[in-house]
Amino acid sequence: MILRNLSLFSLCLLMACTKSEKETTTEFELQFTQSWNGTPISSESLNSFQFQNEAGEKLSIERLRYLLSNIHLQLSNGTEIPLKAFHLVNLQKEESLKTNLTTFVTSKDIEAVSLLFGFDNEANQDGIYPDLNAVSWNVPKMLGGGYHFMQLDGKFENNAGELAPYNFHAIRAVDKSDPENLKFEDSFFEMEQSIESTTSRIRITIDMDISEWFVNPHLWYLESDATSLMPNFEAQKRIAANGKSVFSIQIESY
Amino acid sequence: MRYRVFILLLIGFLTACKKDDPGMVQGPTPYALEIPSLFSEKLITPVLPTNNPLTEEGVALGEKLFFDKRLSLDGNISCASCHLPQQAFSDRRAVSLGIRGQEGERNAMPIFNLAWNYDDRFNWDGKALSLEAQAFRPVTHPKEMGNTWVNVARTLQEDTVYPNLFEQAFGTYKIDSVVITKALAQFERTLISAQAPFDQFLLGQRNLTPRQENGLAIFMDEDRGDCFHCHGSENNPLWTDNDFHNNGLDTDFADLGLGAITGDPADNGKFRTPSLRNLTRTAPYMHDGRFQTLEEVVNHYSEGLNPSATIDPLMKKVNQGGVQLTAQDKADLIAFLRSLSDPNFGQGIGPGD
Repeated sequence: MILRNLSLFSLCLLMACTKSEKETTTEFELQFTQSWNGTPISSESLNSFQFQNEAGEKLSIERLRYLLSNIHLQLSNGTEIPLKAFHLVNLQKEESLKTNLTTFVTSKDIEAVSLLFGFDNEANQDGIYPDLNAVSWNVPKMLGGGYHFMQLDGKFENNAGELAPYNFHAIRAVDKSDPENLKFEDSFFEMEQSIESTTSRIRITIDMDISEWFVNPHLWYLESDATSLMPNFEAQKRIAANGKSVFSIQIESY
Repeated sequence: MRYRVFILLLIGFLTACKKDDPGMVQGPTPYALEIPSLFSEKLITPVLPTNNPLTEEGVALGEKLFFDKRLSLDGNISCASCHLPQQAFSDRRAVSLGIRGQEGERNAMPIFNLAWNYDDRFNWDGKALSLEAQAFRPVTHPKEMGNTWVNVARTLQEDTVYPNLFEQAFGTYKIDSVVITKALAQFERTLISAQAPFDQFLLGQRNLTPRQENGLAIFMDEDRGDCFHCHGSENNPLWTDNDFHNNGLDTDFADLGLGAITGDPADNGKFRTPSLRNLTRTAPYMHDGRFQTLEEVVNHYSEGLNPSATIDPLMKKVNQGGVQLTAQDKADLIAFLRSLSDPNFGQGIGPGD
């Protein structure tokens, strides 16, 4: 009899715990999608000349990696809850296109999700992230060190009708005209999306419209600026400016 | 009464299982992999499969097997015949010689720091999806060891020493391809190279020469060498991204490389980036050993690139033939590359050591 009572008590305790945990946690599925002018693209879209930028240049995409950081929630009480310090998206690695996270807050307390493209200056310290070092994501010290924000590589048809490479790489903008006195300009930027959900499972889809890197506000001609963009201070500032319209965030309960 | 008997039995059972019982069978001794400080500081932990943990007995057995010519059909070729310790576990030939003097298909890749190949794809073309899988193929390849696994297992089983060594390493006297390749992979994972002059520079133990300094600057400069995108930096002391690239060797491909494995034409002509460590001992270079010297390699990237549909966009000046380095820059770049060679790597490894 005592044993039976003990079992019932344990069962109740377990059920209470389960219920309580469900009420105080929210599960997030972060999806990282890519598109070109609204048409979804995937790793199967790589290597073919199926894209045309606003300047009329036909191009292929052969590699796309980009870094998002400081992914966090803003709560209605004004506090911020970190979800993930950084995430490297690699179009060729399926496992990088989705990540699941759990946080110990109820969804009704969440007001918004925020994140950065690239690293802010505090996080962008040289060589401190072993998992990013391991995939050669570093920026040379002569350019200030730290890490890439994006590598978008491929080929385009140039004015001579040849296939020419492009390396649309984003980093912290640096003016190295005086190598002993590097001057920087911030090129990371923030994205934010409000969340109105009362369910405990939320899917956040962060889409990159790649075509937007080449337009708005700066119409981009690969013919003029295709390679060696990392040490190009003006090009980095224009990349950052164009990036502001690249990302869109959708929230859905599931 | 029944409870008392049960408790006594339980105590008896637990006591019998105590670790220090001399009657209990002890497993192999875990191998303490010495990870260089630069690696532990800059890189994530190495790939050590849970189904093949490093043990003292397994590593020692793998080393013995690595140098054992009885793995080949005619008893003349061991792993070390093409992967010589003094050559950073590669050899001096463009393509290695297998049994009956047959030429192989590709240049023998050096063997070091392979536990840090995070994608776990080996060989020039990425065909082997683990180090164990990599060790599997040469034994039966007709141009390499030309043997059968049944024959190898029988030969080693009949040996007076090997069965006991396998029992000590893997708890079985029965020898087969699985335990043989596991032992070889364990040994290979312990081959670590991180004592090059440039490592000593990073550790504050020496300075670079002005030429080496300039060479490093060229290596890291996107406007000049731009080597770092594929070959890493002081923050990636492997000096390879272990990824696959077409580096502009050919316009038409006699060897499809990764493309032959994936079946994707976009992968044709792509090969795994080799590490730049120990270049002074790994000539000739490239998957087919076409370049005899570092000067030839640098000349290739400077003015010898060949266009193709799959050439990596990082070969950004392909339409000008390459990055167009000056003679001085080429010499300085090579001076830097030589500083990545570890003069002592490979010493003390092999039979009798």
